[in-house]
Amino acid sequence: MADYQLTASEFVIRTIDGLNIPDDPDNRHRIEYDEWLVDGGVPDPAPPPPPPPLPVPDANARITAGVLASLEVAIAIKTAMQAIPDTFNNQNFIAVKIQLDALTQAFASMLQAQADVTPNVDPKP
Amino acid sequence: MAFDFPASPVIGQSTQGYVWDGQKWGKPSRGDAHVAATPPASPLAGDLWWNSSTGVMYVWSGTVWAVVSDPGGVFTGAAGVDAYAYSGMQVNGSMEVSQQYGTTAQTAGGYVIDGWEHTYAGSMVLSSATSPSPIIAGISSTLFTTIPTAQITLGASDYAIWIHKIEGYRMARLGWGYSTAKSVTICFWTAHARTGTFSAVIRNASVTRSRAFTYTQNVAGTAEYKTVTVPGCTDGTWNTTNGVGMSIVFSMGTGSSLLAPTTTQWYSTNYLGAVGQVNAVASTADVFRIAGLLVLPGTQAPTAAQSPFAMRPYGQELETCQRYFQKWNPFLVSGYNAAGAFLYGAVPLVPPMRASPAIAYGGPVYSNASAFATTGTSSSSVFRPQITITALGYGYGVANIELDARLP
Repeated sequence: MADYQLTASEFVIRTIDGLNIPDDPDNRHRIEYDEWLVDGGVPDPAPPPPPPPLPVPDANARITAGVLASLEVAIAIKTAMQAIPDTFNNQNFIAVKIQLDALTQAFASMLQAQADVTPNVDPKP
Repeated sequence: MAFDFPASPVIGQSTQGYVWDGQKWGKPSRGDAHVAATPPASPLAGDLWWNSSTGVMYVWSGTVWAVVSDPGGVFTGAAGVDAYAYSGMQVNGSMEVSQQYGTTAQTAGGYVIDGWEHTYAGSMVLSSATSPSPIIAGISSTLFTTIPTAQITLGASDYAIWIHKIEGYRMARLGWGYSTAKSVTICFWTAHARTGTFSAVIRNASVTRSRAFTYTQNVAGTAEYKTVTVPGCTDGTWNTTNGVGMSIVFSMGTGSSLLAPTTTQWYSTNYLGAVGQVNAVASTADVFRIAGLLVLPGTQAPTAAQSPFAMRPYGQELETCQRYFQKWNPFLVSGYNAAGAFLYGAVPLVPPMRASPAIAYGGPVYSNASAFATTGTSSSSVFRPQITITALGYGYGVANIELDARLP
């Protein structure tokens, strides 16, 4: 394994710690990488691209999967929220906010998924 | 009852609570302020007297002149010192901001706290961190280095140094590289365990210009305030944009081949100290402590009493540091997609960073997803993380993200 690995994007991975290094000559890690190249280093090639996404099942299946996945997240967040002490202080407030952010994103994603697959039906009979 | 006023009073003379103003006798109003080298006669409670010879302000309690002071001594106003704080070119001179490691000591060479790198070559081992234990009241943190492995004799090319780099944009005002280059004044507190001569060096990014200065630790382990003015460099190349403008190198020990022979001129050599520098890594009892760094354009410096007032507030210093390094803990990417498809984030960087940051995804946790990566075109103002959905449905990834655009 070389010290660096190319990716599908402009970023290079430092293999020892997974650091994502941008293609910016002002970045100190990019400078190190460029010096490594000058010294004869050869990065590992980019990993093969992932297989194309599988076909999306019908709308009902997607909605059901989204609901179940969001429910799983909601239960996990409920447990995490209950573990936060009642005392109101900055640390607890931030912990609550992080959980609320996660919950919000989970449900937004679920609703977006439903919106994406719901046919645009004329409401009039 | 009639008062017998003096026949030939002088201005300011008082009697029976009346004061002669040159034309008439009058009652001074309560709360008058007086400016004189001696206290006014017959004061009333609440009168203020500013001693023009000592600069000390007093208030008349009704029985005594009491010094208007804070608990630590004679009051020294902050007004005017705020200009020093604003103009300070240093970043994290108060040593308070340590986003990456907190107060955990580091032995590997590199950035230890925001803006400060220790690095060394030789058989010694350094252990460095910031400490919330102040060496001087009013400056709450101290950068320090202990020596787990000492090196009694330094090789000619050995060194143990702290480096504080200042971005070109911050120091461009000095006009270095031109005949009109301005001086820079460096102020800091030390409390080294070893007494004697210490040295530091200012150098440019390409290390083709360097100039050393020295200072003395007079009493072991005792806070001492140092100020040094260094004449500007009139030649050489000095970055004035987003690269390294200048580096200030504080030496704990420097081998003979890296010592500047004098402190009176700029050299075209990469020196890391000056002749006379003590070896402060020679004993495991050595401790190098520095606090309250100010790097000011020009020749003026705050007094020791004023220097704590010139430290920028923590929040402001943190935001300045975030131009170079940001840490988000935790960071979430979530959404719904098909197996093998990506979920993307587009995150604005506030404040925009010095350069496109390198990104570390620490301790990733996934649900129905994997493989944090960075996509899109790199930028100093936005980054785009992505994860890959494992199976159709909702998935998320959480990681501790570090964004590194620190000076090289």
